[in-house]
Amino acid sequence: MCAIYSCAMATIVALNGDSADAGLPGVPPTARNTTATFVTPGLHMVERSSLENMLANHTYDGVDVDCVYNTRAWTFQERLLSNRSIYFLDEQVYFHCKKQLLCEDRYISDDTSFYTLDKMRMTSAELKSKTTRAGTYSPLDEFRWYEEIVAEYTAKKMGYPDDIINAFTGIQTMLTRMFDWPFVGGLPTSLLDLALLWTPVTTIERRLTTSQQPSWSWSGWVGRVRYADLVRPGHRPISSLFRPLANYQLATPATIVFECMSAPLKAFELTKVPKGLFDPFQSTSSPITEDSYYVFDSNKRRCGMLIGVPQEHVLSIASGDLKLLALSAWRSNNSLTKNGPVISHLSDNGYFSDEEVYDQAFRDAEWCTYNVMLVRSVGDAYERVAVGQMHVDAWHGAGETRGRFAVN
Amino acid sequence: MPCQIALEEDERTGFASIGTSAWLNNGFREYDEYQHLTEPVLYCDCCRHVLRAREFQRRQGRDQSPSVDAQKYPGDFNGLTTCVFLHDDDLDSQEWEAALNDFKVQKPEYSRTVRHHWADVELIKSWLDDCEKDHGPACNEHQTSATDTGSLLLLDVIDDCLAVGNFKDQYFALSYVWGASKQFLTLMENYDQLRQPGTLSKQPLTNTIKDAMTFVKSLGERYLWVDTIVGEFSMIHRGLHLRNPVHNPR
Repeated sequence: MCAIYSCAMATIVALNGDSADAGLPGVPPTARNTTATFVTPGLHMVERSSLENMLANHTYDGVDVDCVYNTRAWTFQERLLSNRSIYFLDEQVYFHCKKQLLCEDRYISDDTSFYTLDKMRMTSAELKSKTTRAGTYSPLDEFRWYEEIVAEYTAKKMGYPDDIINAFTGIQTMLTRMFDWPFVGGLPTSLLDLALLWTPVTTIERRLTTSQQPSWSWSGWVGRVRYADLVRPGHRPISSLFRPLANYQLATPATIVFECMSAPLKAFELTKVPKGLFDPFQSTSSPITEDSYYVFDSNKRRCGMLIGVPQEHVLSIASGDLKLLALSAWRSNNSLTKNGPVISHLSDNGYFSDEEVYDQAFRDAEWCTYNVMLVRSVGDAYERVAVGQMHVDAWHGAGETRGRFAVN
Repeated sequence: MPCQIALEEDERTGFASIGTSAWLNNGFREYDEYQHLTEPVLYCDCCRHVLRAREFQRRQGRDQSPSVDAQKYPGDFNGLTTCVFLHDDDLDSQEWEAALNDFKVQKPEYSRTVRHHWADVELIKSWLDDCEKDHGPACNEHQTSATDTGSLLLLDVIDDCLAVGNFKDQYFALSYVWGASKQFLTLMENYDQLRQPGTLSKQPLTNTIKDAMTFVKSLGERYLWVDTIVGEFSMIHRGLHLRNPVHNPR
């Protein structure tokens, strides 16, 4: 699969239309620009849909994406794997290779701000040689490429539940070749501490596949996810901000055995977050999912947040028979002036205000944030329910114990 | 841009206003020092395309006056970032350029008109050739990285039949959306028949596959890979279940 597209002389991309009956605009008998505006004898004009704009328009839930091609998981992989592409748009043809983006109506290379695997490889190689010389290189720096791909990929549509992995294996193969990442369940195991911190953007539910995908991976769920809720280093290197806390081993099939501190969920109280919560450093148009909960300690002080609790597990939350696992810690979060996470709330009348997630009673210190995973026990193992963040002092006051937890 | 101002202010005449004194003064009316000018200091690419098309018609002895009702400017016109200019399919661009060599409005440096209804295959072929010849190993990795020794079932667009090739063959791949289309699939039953020359185009192939075959042939190339011909022969692609060949992404 990987090889078919990467070994081709070029991939012909039918970017137009919503079915295989659309044809390629401009190849007989499929005439293009049949509804052009007349300008003067011998000259017509049509609206220009730049390739860059078409490919950038991909992850807006609830908004119609004009370009059906760009909404599909398989075609996303095919496009990324291609070495060289000939794109048929409604009004003209584009040619994209590793050096140039050419089109019929321009003499020079058109804008290419959309990403390609090759661009990732080049940019990361440059960065690596620079940071290696400075002695600051960390493999964690490469996480951002994975993050970008997953945020787009999980927004795509697919025909069969199993496609979540099938339409991703080619991309995995390429990433393994580029960054030396081994993969389990769609997550790079060498960056697992970060890769576990995905959060849903909307309501998610378990994915039923022939080979069960793990609950700790986005591949085990139906729904779009991202990392921007919990992994937001800004322009700072992640390695200076992030510290893993849990030890783990991988077991088969697709099981992570954590050895880490845990605390019972019943030591805390949860309250559903209000609508319109978002990260003040990101766009208001990408809010935090409403399936999220503020966490309060026994003194009713807000001490954290769990993001994207699947609705099927809301009842088990109420029963309180769940555990929180301490996975990792951040030195500081999204704010430049606070170490703890800062959240913004957009009210109905359009005003918004920033506030700290943690109650003022908690000290705002470096490394005061734990990334936690909420798990529920299923048989003799556990299943991921959600991830979130919590203040370290609240955590220590909750009767933490060390243990081994097999999550699958 | 004088053209944009003129177009916005005078919707009745639209593109016909380009080149007129109204158009000229629209661009310069606020500046006294420019009032003596009889032509613009700079022409934008849009105006160049329009003026040159009109001049060409004039020199060919054809009527260059536009019909008025079709001249309304489209609401969101914002120069070249939002529009593509199209020339008639039978026009020879080189002849056009040569004919206007001495015209005071020179051709744009940035943009060019494209063929109206049909893709410029010669241009696409030249991009491909340049990339192969001049872009070095980075762009031509596919020729050396083919380590997969498996065979590939390809469409031979010259002999119009199926062909067994491999990853080292010069072939094009097709990436497209199936949608609700009913796809013709290669199965064990029809495999032998489709190996005979002249059989493929008689099959009920979808338009995108047919056009891709035509396109590959017009480039002077022979092989095309499409996922519907994988059939029972090799891998599962796109969750292609033979009993349920309709690919219906949600």
